[in-house]
Amino acid sequence: MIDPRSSVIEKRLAGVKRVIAVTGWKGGIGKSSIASVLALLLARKGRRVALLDLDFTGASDHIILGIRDAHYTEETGINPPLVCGITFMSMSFFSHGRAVPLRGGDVSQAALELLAVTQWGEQDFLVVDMPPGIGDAALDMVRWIKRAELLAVTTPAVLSVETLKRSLALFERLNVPLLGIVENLGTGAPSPFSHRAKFLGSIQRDPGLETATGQPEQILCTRFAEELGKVVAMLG
Amino acid sequence: MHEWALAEAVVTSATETARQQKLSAVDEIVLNVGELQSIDNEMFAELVLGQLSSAAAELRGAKVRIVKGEAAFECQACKKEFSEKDAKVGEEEREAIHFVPEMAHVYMRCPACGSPDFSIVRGRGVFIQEITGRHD
Repeated sequence: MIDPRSSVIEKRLAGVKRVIAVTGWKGGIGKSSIASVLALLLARKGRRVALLDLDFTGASDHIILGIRDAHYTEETGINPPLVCGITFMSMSFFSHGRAVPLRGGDVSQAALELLAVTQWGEQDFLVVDMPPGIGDAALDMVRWIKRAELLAVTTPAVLSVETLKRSLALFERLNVPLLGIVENLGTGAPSPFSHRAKFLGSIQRDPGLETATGQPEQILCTRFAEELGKVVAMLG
Repeated sequence: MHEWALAEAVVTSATETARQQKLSAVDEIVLNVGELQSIDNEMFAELVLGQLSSAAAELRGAKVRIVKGEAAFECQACKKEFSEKDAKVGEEEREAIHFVPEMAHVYMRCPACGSPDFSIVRGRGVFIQEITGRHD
C-alpha cells in the first residue's frame, strides 16, 4: 500500500518562498511565542506570511494571537483563514478546545494530513511552530520539507543549552540548514552561543508578554516583540 | 472540498509509481479509502478520474476502483478491540475526524474502559493499494 500524501507536499508549498521551522528541544522555552510573534512581525512588515502550528498536543499559537472565531474554508483543499495578516493553520480548528492525546506516530500522521491538504497560496514566509523535541514528527517534518530552515530557540538554562547543543549536532548530520539560534528568557548575561556565527540575539525575559497574550496589537508593543524584531530584520 | 487535494496526491503518487515501474500504460488504480476519512467513495473516484484525464499520458484512461477500509481500533489500556460504530461518534466530531483522522483520539473513547489512548489499527487515510498496467 502506498501512502500518496507526501508526494504532494512540494506542490502545496510551491508558492512559499521560505519555510522557517521554529524549534526548541525543551518545553517552556517560548518556542510558540517566538513562532507566533515572528509571524506577526513579518506580517506587519508587509510580508505575506503563513503560520502552521504543528505543536498539536500543546497547540497555543491561536491563544497567543487571540484567534477565536476564525475558520478555514474548503475549495481544492483546506484554505486557512487570514487572521492578523497571517494565513493561519492549527489543529485547534479541529480539536475545539479539547486535549489532543496523540502518540508520536499519530502526530506525524496528522501533520502529514495537514501538509497534504492545506493550500497555502503565495507566501514570502511559512513559519512552522515545530513539534517539540526530536521525536517522530520533528524528524518527519525536516524529511518532508527539505528546504525548511531551522530557527532554534533556547534559554540560558544549562539544561536547555546542553539539549540544544546535542540537537543541533543531530540536525547538522541530517543536513538541515540552520537559520540561527535565538536565546529567549535572557538574563542579560552573555549567551553560551553568543560566539557562534549563527547566534541571532538574546531576548530578555519580559513579563509584559504574559499580559499581552491574546492581543496582537499589545504584543507588538512589548519589549519581547521589539527584541525579536531585531532578529526579523536579519531575515531580509 | 479537501478531497480534491487528496485526489491530487493520489494522481501525483500514481504517476511517480508508474514511472518507477516503467509502465507504458496504467490499466487500473485500486484505492483503499479508510472508513475514518468519511469520504463518499463514488465522488472520490470521480475526482481522481477527473484529474487523471489531464495527467501524464500513461495514466489517462486508467480505471479507478475503491476498496473500503473498515476502521478498527485497539485500546492501549485494556486491549479491547472496537469499531467506529462501537465508539458512537457524533456528526460534529465525525466532521473533524473527516479532515484529520487522528482527531479520533480527541473525540472517541474505548467503549470498555473509556480511555482515549487507543491505536488506529486500520481504516485511516487514502492509500494506493494496487496499480496494474503494461510495459509495452
